[in-house]
Amino acid sequence: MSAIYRALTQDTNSKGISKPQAGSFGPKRVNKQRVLLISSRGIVFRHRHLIADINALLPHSRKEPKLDTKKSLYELNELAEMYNCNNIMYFECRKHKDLYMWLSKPPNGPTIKFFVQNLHTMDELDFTGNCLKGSRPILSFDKTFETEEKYQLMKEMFIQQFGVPPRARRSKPFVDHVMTFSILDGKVWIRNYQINESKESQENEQSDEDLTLVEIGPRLVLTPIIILEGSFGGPKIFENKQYISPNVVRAQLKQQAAAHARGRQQDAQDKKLKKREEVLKADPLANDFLFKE
Amino acid sequence: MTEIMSKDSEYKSHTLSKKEHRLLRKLGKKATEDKKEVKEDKGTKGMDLNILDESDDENEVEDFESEKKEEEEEKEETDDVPYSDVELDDDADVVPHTKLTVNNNAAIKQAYASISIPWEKHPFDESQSIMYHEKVELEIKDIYDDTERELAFFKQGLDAANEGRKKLLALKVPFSRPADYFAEMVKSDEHMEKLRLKLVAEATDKKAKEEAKRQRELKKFGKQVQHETLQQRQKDKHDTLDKIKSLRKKRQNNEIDNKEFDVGVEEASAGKEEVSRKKRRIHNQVMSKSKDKGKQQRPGKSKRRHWKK
Repeated sequence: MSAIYRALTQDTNSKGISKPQAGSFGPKRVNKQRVLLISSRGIVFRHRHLIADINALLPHSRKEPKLDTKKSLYELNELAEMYNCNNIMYFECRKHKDLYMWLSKPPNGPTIKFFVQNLHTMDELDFTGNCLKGSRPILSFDKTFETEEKYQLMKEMFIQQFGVPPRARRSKPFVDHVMTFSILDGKVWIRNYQINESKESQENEQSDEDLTLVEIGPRLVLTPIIILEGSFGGPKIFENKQYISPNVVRAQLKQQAAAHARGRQQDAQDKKLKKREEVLKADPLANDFLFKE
Repeated sequence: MTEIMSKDSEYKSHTLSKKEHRLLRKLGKKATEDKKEVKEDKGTKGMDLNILDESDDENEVEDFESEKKEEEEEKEETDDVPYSDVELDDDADVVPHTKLTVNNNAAIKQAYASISIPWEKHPFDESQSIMYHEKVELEIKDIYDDTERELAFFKQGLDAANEGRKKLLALKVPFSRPADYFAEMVKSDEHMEKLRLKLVAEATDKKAKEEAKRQRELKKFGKQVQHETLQQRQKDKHDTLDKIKSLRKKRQNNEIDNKEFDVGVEEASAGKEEVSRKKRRIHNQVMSKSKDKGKQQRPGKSKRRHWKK
């Protein structure tokens, strides 16, 4: 449709110009992004809702059906090339419990793997905000993103993947939500808010800010695990020391429970022995001693 | 399979396997490097221990070690030297074993350079990203306190929204959505309706609870008042009966005088209206009694019932 429209307008404008100049459609756009949104097999309903939410928020995304393999992830690069995407957002679910998010820039770009926790989707009834489907968000980054190299890299990835490029296909004109990225305790916290304006500030542009925020969702906490130099391949260039795999956490819990159980068993045995050994001394004045004969 | 097994048991080869070759090569390399490294390590590890004692941050030691490892990482990633091969001082404490991790800042910088877009050279409209002027981590005292944390994020978002609005309006980018602009929203209308119903239900619940509480308080208060009036009435009854008794006694003893009697009645009638009515009745009765001394008018059963107390 847009191609036909463009063709018609070009005809009406002028016949000499075959290519539209940069000035006619606005300043030259550098930010052109397309995100390939894909998940692995074994995904849970909650994760599926998250992916659907992200697909709704990002008009420059393309949702593809599940990827079969969990080992040969290099196939994602081929998929991205096929669909002409220069970003990949891959959600990997393990054991139907743990969700990992991979952000990557094919074909050569770095890859960041995150562990997703504290996931709250948009459908939860506590999130009362709403926004246009495909409106461009304002992205807000914590000051901590400037301090370290890896955080700068993450910030760039977030801007290109979560930020809607101008003039994206299905984007809407007005700005009505803001996404915040903060770093706390070595983890990235993502929140999404709707911008509510009072009527005065709408009419009067120069008025002082009278905005309020209402949370739309979804809510995420990302723990960076690893950064690879290539797209789903290549050497490791960063590894997070504080990251503990959820399997290890579960194993430790089980070991604690086992130690507890063993302790209880040992105590029971000790009690038994104690009862057997600790016998009262024979009392010379007891009845059965005196009246034995 | 069985044939191969029997071969191994009979003949033991003395040629080294590939794994053993590798290990040998490593040890051979390390034998020369180790002596240099161990001396450096001994010196630096001693320094590290002192720093450890002074500082609280355990990451310092790890960063120091990771910087050293940077050159090595490019060739082989896990190049652990087993501690049995390294010569340590006898009186040096055992260095806390740090997990060998990678932090190749140079490569990260390079990767960043390869993907970054120079946002400063383009108008704000291109990325619409704002850097908050504070570190959220410093604002929050307790990270496990949900309200405090969410408040900090809210403040960050609000600040960004205000700043973004200013910048976008300066660029003449449409910011506010007009009231008549209808388009597909991220949450469907049915969902918003459900939300609205939930909020309304919450509000009505709250009101109902408050109302019930108020009623309960009033009821208690009302009960108290009722109790008090009952008690007051009983007390009055008791008082009047006592007075009657005393009067009868006095009358029997022929001490009563009309004047005396009147004063008491008048005093009582100065108070409440109902009481005065009762008193007047009683007064009349007693007066009639005093007139014909012979005949004693026996009061009715309701009165006699209360005497028995």
